[in-house]
Amino acid sequence: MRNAHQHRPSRRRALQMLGLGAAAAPFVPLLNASGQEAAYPKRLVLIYTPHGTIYDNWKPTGSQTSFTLGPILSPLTPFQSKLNILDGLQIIHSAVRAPSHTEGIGVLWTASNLSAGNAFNFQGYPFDWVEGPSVDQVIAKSIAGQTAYASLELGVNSGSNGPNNRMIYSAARQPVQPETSPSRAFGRLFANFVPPMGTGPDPALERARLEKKSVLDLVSGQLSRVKPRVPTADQQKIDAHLTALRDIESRLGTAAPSAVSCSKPMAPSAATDVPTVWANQFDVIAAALACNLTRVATLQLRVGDNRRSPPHLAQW
Amino acid sequence: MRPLWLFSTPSMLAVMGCTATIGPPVDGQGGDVPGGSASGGSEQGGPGSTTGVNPIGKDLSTVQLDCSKPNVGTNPLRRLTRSEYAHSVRDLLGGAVSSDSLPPDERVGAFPSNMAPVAALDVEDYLETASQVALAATANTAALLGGCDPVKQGNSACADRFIATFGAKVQRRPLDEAETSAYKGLFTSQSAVSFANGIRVVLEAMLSSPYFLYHFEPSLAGALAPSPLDGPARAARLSYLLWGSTPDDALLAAAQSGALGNADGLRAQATRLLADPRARDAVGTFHVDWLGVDELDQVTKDPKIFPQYDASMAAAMQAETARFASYVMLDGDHRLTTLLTAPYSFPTGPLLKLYGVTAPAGTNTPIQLDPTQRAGLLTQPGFLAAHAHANQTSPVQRGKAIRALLFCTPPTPPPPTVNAVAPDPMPGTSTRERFALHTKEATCAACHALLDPIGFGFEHYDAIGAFRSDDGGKPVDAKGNIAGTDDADGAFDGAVELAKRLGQSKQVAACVSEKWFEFAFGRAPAEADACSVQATQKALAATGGDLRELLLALVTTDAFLLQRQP
Repeated sequence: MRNAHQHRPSRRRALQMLGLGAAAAPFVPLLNASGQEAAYPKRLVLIYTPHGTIYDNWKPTGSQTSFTLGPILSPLTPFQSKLNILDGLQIIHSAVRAPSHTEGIGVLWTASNLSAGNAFNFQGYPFDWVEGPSVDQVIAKSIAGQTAYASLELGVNSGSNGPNNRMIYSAARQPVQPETSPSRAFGRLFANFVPPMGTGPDPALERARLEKKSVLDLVSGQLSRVKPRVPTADQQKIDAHLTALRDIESRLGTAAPSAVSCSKPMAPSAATDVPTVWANQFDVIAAALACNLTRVATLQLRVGDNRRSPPHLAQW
Repeated sequence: MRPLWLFSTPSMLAVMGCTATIGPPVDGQGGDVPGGSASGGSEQGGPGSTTGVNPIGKDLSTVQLDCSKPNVGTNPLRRLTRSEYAHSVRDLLGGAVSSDSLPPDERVGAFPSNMAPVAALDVEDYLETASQVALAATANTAALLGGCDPVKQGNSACADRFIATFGAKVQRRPLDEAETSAYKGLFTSQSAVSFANGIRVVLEAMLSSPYFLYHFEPSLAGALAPSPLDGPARAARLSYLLWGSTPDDALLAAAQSGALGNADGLRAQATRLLADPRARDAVGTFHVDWLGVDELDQVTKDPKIFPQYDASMAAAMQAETARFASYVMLDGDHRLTTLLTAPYSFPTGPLLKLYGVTAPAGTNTPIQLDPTQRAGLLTQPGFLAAHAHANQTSPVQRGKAIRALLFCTPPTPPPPTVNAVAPDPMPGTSTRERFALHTKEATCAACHALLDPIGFGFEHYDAIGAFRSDDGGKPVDAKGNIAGTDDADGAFDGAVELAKRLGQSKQVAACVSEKWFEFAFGRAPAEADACSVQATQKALAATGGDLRELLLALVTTDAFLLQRQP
């Protein structure tokens, strides 16, 4: 798409205006950039890789209090004194209808069973969404309002939207899709971002904000008029859409982050190879946490019932 | 596997055949549909006929069902799929949309169908995409204004006209007063910068609207009886089924005039749509999705064994299957048998070498293939590569695909304790030998006896679909066997023979009808849809497997014409 009209900046243009857009290099390791460790709030980051791991490469050796990390966890060695590593947990759930590997991902963070409904047909088996929220969303909701984003959901090759591929739920039967593009995730997070020592809101950005708000208001009005004209069972979908619009609208007003520990992050590269996308998603989470745009993040690495090793990590 | 009790239940042996009941012409003014009483023989407020038959995996073409009252399953509110969105934008504005700028699709059965509620991220994707599409489309607003000149006729008049005419196209139904005035208010507030800016923001809002993003079919709250869909909803069903895209002006006009209120009008429009090049999108998409060939997007092959396989080869495989299917269904003899057995195809690019053929001079000329090696969709590299491992074939996956996708009887999944990882290829062993464990161990054999012997029939094709005569240093043995079907059981030798068997099977024909139902409605058929499924199966059987006739029958079924609240 060409930017034929310059009255209104697109998100990418907005980033360029802030001098953030053009960089292609991975962005700086922000968490290391600040020494203000004690000032950081508590954060929650959940990372999922399907079908377990190469156990011998993952498992620490030694005792519970004195141990050596295996090759997979070894990058965490500098933080070893702060680590708790759990092993041998089991997910027990009822209503196995589709292949159990397929159902596991939905149960993982929700501790809820899959619905007995029939919205999906998995290779001939009835199958449906999970009947409860995931733990990150419960926590995000309880601390909502403190950051621009209550939570951040990212993925890499996280697949089509179905109960077999979704792990995050905002409520019963309301899955949350992960963003699979680091560039788009970054653009969204930092579109309205004004660095702490910046010169204040740009008038063009302010106009774009008001314009966006007027579009959101119009669509919200339409949804409210549509709601009574769809079957009762579908009205929750209209409500979810309205909730999403309110969420987006509330962020239009929050231009600056409250933390001062954040310098100007650089946009992730547009590379689409799996190892780079994988690394960039971690960097987006790091940037969002460092800039206090959210305190809850999740990352889903590949589909729920994945049968292929990540191509760049054969030892996983 | 297949419950045979259905055919011997005495209570089924009554009453009349199923014919679609068409309601009176419904108004196309964007209002709500009339109440349940408008629906043909349906009693006021009463339910439709209950046949007591779950149509999944069944051939109902010769079964007696009570179809005396119209009935329909519930259609949950769905959002457009990525492909539907991209095609709609193309046909409305001429622009292209990258599908990964939109939320990923849900997959219900074989086909994408987005029924889940949205989260904020999804809506941000829609808003951002709408914003970018509108920005590109309003680089020159003249094309959007239908001849209205703001300088001569005034900004306000041209905005009014844009909102009414283009709004009705984007939303697939005429705007009512509330929607019209909301858009006009948005235009007024945003055109202070410039006229073009006002049009751009209005267009962005239209593309962010629930009327565009959802398959919105207005219904009366609490109307539990089957009731007719209004004209615009029928028009949208027609175009998304047959084009995978938004209705054109002629179809919207037909909806307005009431022409979609009767079977003749619907068939006439469906026939017109099938003659349009856009029908190739829908027919191609159906076959690529049905056979899992779309999943090649995500499939990698072992580069040491298949260095020639890459994203462009995968794309060529998908294009071949789509092109072949639309040729047979729209240009050829429309026969299911031909789809499954034709010894020709349309390979391009890297596939020419894989087949060992050269490109013909003509553009719409199929390339003849060796009829002893290739027969229709199932011997195309797309199907064969999608149902294979990265480093070897998979008799299990290929057998499973035939059972699930062609016979509509998917096997039971393996128990969770089973190690489902295939044995690695070893020099000096054939695939058949490595998978022999499945039939030796009794716990595996019960199910694998239904899978592997079908899959072995494909052993002449490697994991990217190239023909081979040698596997692990041994001559390929492609002898197979089908068991547990209605009418296709027995031994066969090779996929060409298998394909001919499938092409003659009534069970396969019935299954294809079921898949088209899934494709049309984004859901599996329910008990209330048994008569509609039966109508399409009968149409196919009565015409010797003519798939166009199946589609023309589908668009006049109760399932297509009616709606019902859960």
